[in-house]
Amino acid sequence: MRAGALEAWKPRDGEWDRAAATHLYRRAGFGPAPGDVEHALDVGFEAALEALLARDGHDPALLNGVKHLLAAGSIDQLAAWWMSLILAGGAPLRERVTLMWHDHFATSNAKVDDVRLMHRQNALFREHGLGDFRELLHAAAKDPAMLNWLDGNDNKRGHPNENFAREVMELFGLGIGHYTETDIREAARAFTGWGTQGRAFRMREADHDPGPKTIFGRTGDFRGEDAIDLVLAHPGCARHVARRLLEELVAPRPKEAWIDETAGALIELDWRIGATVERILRSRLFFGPEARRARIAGPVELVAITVRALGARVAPRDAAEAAAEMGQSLFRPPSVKGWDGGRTWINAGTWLARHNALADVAAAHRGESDAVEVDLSVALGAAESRDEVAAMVVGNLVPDLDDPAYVNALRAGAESCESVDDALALVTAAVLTSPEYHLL
Amino acid sequence: MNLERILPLGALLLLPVATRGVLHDPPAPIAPERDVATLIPDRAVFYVDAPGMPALLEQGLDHPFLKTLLASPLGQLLQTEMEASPEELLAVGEALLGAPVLPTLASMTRHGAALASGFGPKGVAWVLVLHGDDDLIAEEVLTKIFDQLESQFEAPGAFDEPHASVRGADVWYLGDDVKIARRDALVVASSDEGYLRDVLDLAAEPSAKGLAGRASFDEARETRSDEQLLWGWVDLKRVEAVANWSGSGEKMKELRAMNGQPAVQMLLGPGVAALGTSETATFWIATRGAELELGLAGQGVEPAEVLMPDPSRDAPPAPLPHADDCGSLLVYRDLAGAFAHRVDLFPPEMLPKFSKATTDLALFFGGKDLGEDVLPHVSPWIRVVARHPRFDEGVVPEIPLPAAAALVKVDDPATRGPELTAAFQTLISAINLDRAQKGMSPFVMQLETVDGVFVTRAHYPPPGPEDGVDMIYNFVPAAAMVGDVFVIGTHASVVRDLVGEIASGETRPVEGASEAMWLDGPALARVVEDNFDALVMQNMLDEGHDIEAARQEIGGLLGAVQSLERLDAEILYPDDDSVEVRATLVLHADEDEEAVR
Repeated sequence: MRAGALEAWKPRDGEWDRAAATHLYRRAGFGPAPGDVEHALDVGFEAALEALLARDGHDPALLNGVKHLLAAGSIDQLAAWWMSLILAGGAPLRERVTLMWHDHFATSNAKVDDVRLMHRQNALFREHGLGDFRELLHAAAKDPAMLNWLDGNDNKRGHPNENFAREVMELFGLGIGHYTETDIREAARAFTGWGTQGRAFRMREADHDPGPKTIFGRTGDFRGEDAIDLVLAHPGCARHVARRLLEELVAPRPKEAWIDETAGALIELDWRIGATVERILRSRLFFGPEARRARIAGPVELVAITVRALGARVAPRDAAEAAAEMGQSLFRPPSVKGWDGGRTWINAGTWLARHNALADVAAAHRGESDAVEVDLSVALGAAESRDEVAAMVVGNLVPDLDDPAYVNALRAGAESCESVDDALALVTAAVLTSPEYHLL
Repeated sequence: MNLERILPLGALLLLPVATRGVLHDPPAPIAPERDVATLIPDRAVFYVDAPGMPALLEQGLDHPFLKTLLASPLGQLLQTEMEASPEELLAVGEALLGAPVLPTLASMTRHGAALASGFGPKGVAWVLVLHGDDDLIAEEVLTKIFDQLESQFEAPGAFDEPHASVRGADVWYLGDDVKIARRDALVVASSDEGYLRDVLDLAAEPSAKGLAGRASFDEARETRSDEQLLWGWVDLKRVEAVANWSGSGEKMKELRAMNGQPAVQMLLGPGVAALGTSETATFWIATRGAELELGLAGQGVEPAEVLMPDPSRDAPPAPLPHADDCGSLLVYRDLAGAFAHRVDLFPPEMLPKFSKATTDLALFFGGKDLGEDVLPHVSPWIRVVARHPRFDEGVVPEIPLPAAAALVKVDDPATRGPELTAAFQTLISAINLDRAQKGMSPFVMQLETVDGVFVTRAHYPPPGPEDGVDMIYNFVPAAAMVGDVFVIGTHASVVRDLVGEIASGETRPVEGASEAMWLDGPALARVVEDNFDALVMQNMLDEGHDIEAARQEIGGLLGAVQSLERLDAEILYPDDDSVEVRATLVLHADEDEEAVR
């Protein structure tokens, strides 16, 4: 390992620029709102990062308003509510990790079929998402939605159901290669008796298998909590979590050296996710070339980043539906593995959905959208001539891109327009629907 | 000079001048009492006029209905949306017209105002006719309008002179789209030259009948009265013919097919379903004090005779007014008739659905045939009572909703009562089976007595302390047989109350029943009030509003509902081939307003 991938980044003159600031806002949240980048450049990197980390308070009316929705039992309303929190930007990093853990501990309402339980799990990720991973794993394992999703109620003494134990090892805590089938069977015995009653976790002692179990070579009369602790004590666990954080914040295929260093940081920081994330966000690795524009944006982040960047007014329900059209339906991940992400975000159908939704946002500038209201000249700046439009839009939306041919093509498009306003709408649509914009 | 030779030549030269008066006599003045429909070409397929409009315009904002509306929360909401008060808008209009708006409009429509449309060479054409009582006012208004247009389109003098003269009327062309003509106090505007000329021709002939000469129009006009603000007529038969000819008749086909759809018959009833078969239709809006009446009628309808309401059949009793009432509905649905005559009434592709329903529902009726053994013993008159329930068990849903209960009369209650009660219990059992398969807790069924009557009720077990109270807790289904009336409802408290009221005779007997409905404004407002925060949140998510804007919008909705005192609707059958639907909306007037009236 080359020392210091997580070494603190000390930007030299000019390095803390629009591209770096935009990168920070997009990875540590859901992108900058109009004016955020300019402010970040004014105050400098340290102050901008501190301010971003400190932004951790949702509008209580919005956050608590969900209680008025739950009785209706509509998962679409719950998805819209979550999208409203994301779009409002009250706690950008917290919502970013809440989405990450929703994917990591993927649970779908398609099977759970209980909006209150899905909300409770969502609140759990929000509460523990930046806290101690050990607490998060314990809490997620006892979450009623999770237990219903992974057939916890069927896991009984004499008839252990291995679903839950398998996912705790394969997906939540270790990853393939760090356990055996025997470990899974034995852990499943440890989890016997875990289930739900109504909407609460319930330990059914009569269903628990009290005999000795051997997990990772250690033998004892383990219960479910012990099995979780054994997973956490396994050397692969910190690396598994580190890989997840790096995939989310840095690049889709993190190098082993980065993982080792991040896992070390996680343990050094007493499993505190927030502190580990902060170390990543301050690192040279985070701002280095391997992290820039390294990921294909997922639908939720693409929609949110676009709406926020353009200061558009969109109903959260429409935004959540747009993300679902693009392949990411909140509270309905496709399997226990969550969304595959990466290149699988893009296929003929989802690309068309991305194109149509983003083109609609740009068209709203000329009042040609029923669902979106936007004034691009407020969000992106008021150009005085068509010639200025291309550089201005690119500077705002894809500031990392250094491609004169791309800008020239946009400039030619702008020149064909009758007015600056038309050029602004056309160039914005062209940028939003170009593959370059979909790389974060 | 040979005078004898010159005179004939002079006479020949003077002939055009001398005969101009004879060949182009100015048309006779239009009689003030002339029906405005006689000025509309008889090929029109849509017509609307405004018999009560001059009276409303004369009273202006002092008109009783307008006054109540503007003083109501709904009126205030509308004014907020308009961004200007009615007085301000009238002041702007006065500045533009150079005269008070309402009296001017009253003058211009004094002897009639009508809008009609039909089919012209360029598709749908429209024509507007205003028959006023003052030439000068009509002239001044048009001059003002033309001045505005000249200024707007930077074409000074473009309308200083008429562009043509037709049958004694001056005509101006506003591009290709609109033509305007004025003859004395008659002002005509149209999108089609042919319609404009036809109106002027009709106006020139005092005895011309125009559209009023059409028998179907004349008959339909019997529903018109002078107090109606608007009265309209549509020739659906001719619209259908043109639509079919032009290949755009899908909507008309759907309308015509309504009567043969079992779902439409069951949901909307035979009267409303029959409206789709109308040859012509009329509609109207009228005001009486704080009341607004909306009407829709069909003429030449072909209803499904065997399903039509029969006032001689037993109707369930009407409960006396109750403090928690939200509304009530009395409908006639002859399900037995629909089963018995299904082959004649409905298209063949619908018939398997009847067979399936018979098979599926036999489960609930001990294997009996629904069409032959069950429905013939139930009277087609069904009364639905909507009331706020009492959540006596202390489990109050977070989204509380009104309950509904249906009342029907059955013959041979000693036999049918247990059958229907058992069907209800089987239904609950079937629901429990389904819920058990999903791992959900079942309904608990209980039996209780109210005034000696057995009531079967079912409820969900109380939720856990942190479970919240879902919408499903609005559902405490119950059923009972009281005398010869079967009562089934979504909430036991309402069923219990109704059983008690019927058992103790606290009801009104019903004779000569007709289909009708009423809704109570304050009770509906309570539904909005009870769920205000949920509606605000939903508005934020659905519309993208912030909380203040959402509160304002839902507050506006609440205000609008609070403005409503009561809504009544009824379905009437004036004769064998006519159906009429009337709805009366009574605005809530505050006590001061009431005293004034």
